[in-house]
Amino acid sequence: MDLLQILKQLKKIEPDQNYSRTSKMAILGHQITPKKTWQDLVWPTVRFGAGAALTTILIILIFVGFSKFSPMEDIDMLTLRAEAEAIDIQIQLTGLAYDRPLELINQTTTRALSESKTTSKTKTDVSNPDNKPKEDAKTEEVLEQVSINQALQELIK
Amino acid sequence: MSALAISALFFLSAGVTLAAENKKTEPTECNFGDKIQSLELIQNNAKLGESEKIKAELQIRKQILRQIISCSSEEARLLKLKLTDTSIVDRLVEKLKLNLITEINQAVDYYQNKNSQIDNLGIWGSKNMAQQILDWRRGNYAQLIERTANLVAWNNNQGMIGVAEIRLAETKKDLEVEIDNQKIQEVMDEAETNLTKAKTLNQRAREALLNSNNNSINYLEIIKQSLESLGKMYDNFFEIKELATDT
Repeated sequence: MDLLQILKQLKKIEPDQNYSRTSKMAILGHQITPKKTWQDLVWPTVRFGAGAALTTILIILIFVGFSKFSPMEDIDMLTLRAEAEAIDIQIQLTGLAYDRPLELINQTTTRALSESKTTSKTKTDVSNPDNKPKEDAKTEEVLEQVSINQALQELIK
Repeated sequence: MSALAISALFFLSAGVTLAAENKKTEPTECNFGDKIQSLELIQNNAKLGESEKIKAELQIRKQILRQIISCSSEEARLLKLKLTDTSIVDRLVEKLKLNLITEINQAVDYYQNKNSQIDNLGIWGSKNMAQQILDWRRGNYAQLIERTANLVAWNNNQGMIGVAEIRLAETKKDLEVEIDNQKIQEVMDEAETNLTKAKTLNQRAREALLNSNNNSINYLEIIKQSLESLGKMYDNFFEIKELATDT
């Protein structure tokens, strides 16, 4: 082999491709990123999937799994209690209706209770003229409470 | 959501309480205290001559009678309005409601008739009319109000029983897993018994309501007992919830 042929062969010699690339990047000032393997591609997907699954499980646990001990249970109890109280009020109204059927029709418990107090006072004061001249606020309040039937009774006298 | 819907139905059936506030059957401005006081002052006024006293007394008596009739008519009108607004599913009870409305119309006619007679009254006549109206109110009209109250009470009970039935079904469904718990099963059976009792009493009340000639039945007592059974059923629900939480 003569010298000329040896020199031609030397022209074909090339550097390692990976070395060439990293050297080039180093000269150009780029950060060198190693070539991605199949693990590098799959791992983020697995990590994201696991995170999403965990979040979903937590949401399900919060809204369904723990519902027995959560405010949702309290709302159910509150509804039940409100209904039970409504029944109690109806029982009281039905009890009052023996003497005051209009109260049941009107469905006003508080009014019934306050009136039952004032009417008893009215009966005493209006039927007793000796107490009549009392010019105080209490008398005014009592006099305002004379009902239709009581007024009729007064007219009969 | 379903709980909210059922609650809405429940409170609606309980008498539409808030709406009814604006339609009270007893007019609020019908108090006669000041006029009765004026009447008493005239009767006890020694300074007035006999004829002046009679004239003044008659005038105030007529005013009171007119006010009484106006208030009574308004009371009847509002009672009718309350009945008209009550929606009833049961056909026979609805028929009873219409009969009651007719009777209320007759009551309004009665008051109008009395009102037309006031101008011609003397003192004795005014006392007589007051007695007649009082007797009529204590007899016919009080009975009319009582029957209306009975109907309203029964109608309110229907909504409450309806919701209680739904609640029982819901509670049963919720506890399907825990139903093998002996104590829960016992309380659940008790709840069912209470509901059955409430419904039986409600049916008795309906029959009594439709048969108004039978005065021996204490109608309101039956309704009250029915409601008390419903109340006991809710106590059972609370006990079941407590037991279910403990397990």
